[in-house]
Amino acid sequence: MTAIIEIFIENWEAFLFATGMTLKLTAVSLVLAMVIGLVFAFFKISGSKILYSIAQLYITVIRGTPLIVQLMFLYFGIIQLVVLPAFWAGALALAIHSGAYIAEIFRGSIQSINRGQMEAARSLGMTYPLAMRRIILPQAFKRAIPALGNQFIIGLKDSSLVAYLGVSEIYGTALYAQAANFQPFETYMVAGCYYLVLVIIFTWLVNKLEQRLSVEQSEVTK
Amino acid sequence: MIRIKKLNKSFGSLHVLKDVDLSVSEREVVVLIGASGSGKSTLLRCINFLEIPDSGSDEISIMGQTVDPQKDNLNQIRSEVGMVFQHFNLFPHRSVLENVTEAPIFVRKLKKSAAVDMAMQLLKKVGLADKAKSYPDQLSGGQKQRVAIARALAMSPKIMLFDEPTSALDPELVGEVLQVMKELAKEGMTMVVVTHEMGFAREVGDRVMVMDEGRIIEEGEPVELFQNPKLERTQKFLSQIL
Ligand SMILES: Nc1ncnc2c1ncn2[C@@H]1O[C@H](COP(=O)(O)OP(=O)(O)OP(=O)(O)O)[C@@H](O)[C@H]1O
Ligand SMILES: [Mg+2]
Repeated sequence: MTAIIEIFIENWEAFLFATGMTLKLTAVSLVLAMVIGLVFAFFKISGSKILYSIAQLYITVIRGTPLIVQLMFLYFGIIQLVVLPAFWAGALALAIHSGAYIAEIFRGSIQSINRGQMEAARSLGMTYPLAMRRIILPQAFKRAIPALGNQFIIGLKDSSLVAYLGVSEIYGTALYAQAANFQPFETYMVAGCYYLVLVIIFTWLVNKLEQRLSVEQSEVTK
Repeated sequence: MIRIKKLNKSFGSLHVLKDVDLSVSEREVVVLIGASGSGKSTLLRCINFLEIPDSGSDEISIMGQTVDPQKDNLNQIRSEVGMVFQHFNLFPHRSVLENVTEAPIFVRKLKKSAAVDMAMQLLKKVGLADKAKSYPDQLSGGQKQRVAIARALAMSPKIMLFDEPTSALDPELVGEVLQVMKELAKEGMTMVVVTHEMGFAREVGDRVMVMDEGRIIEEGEPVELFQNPKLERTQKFLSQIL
């Protein structure tokens, strides 16, 4: 126990910096993933067979291969195309990964909105894009929040794999520290605690958000 | 106002509307009745092109303009034909006021203040000015439907279509919605109403049309048609709902 506390105290600056890195990585990759997810969700509901197939292929490949393989593959692919720092290449790779899951979340929530909503909007003369933006998406986003929150937590933990690209986020910092102090058990324990605390805080925030939205409006749609 | 000739509509191999002819003149109130599945909703939905008629259809003209669904701007036409649905379809994430101002602001590009003024007028007209800040889920069914009517009126439509506007309501709430519709009819709104409210049809309907299996099988002046239906099918149907 004292060893753990010692390691915590010895490395607090490095881990604090690493926590910032993990949060930045998570935030950047998830914002990108939401954009990717929305685009591919629209591909799936577009009614175009070609777009649907493209989206389906993307989702199948991402779901069917390990994240670490995707990460390495994308990293080495990306840096051949453009010169990017490891942080951005890693964030992009994570985004492409999460994007597939978020695409399915958005598709599901958009399709769960009653057809009558689109019809009412169109009957008022709204164009399809306007009806999507003003009527369908706000309701769909709200309905997607629990699943998105879950995906965000997964994304936060998955960001640890970017350590293998040489980014000093929490796990990478632990990797480096344990090689120096020869106390892997205690060091990984400390790293685990950092993740746990972040996830607990994040879960709490998502719950708060859900509560606030459901107070604003107790019902979603009939 | 509406002239439809030989309208056909199929869903896949299901032929739902068969050579339907329908003319509605200005200020006229036409009541559509008919058994479930006879195609009443589909006919209404074709009038504002929520469903695209089959290409074999002869002609649909709305407000004197013959419409080609492939070429014409259907949004423009829809914005001038109001529609009220059985299940209200209010926007649950917007307040009552915002439900009414949404289309005027984003489709008609009205200034917000002008849209709000107009919306408040319309809400007053349907007796719901005090509910402007409420959300749809805080309203009764009858109130929801009156908001839906105000929302459609906010686009200043030339024609209003009603698809069973009272059939999802508790009996005691039907009257308040019919009252609003009667006032609209008296103001001279051109209306096509799918309803089985015979009192309403008698009082404000100029003509009743009976649909059966995708065709209009009989039409006439309401009192006359209800008392002396010509066809046995009509008799049978009327005896079920009267
Ligand atoms: N989008 C659709 N796809 C396939 N079939 C449809 C569709 N909409 C309606 N139909 C079919 O068309 C027929 C007519 O339906 P419609 O809704 O117009 O009938 P209705 O007279 O309004 O009946 P109700 O009184 O039950 O509302 C029905 O057999 C229905 O199943
Ligand atoms: Mg119907």
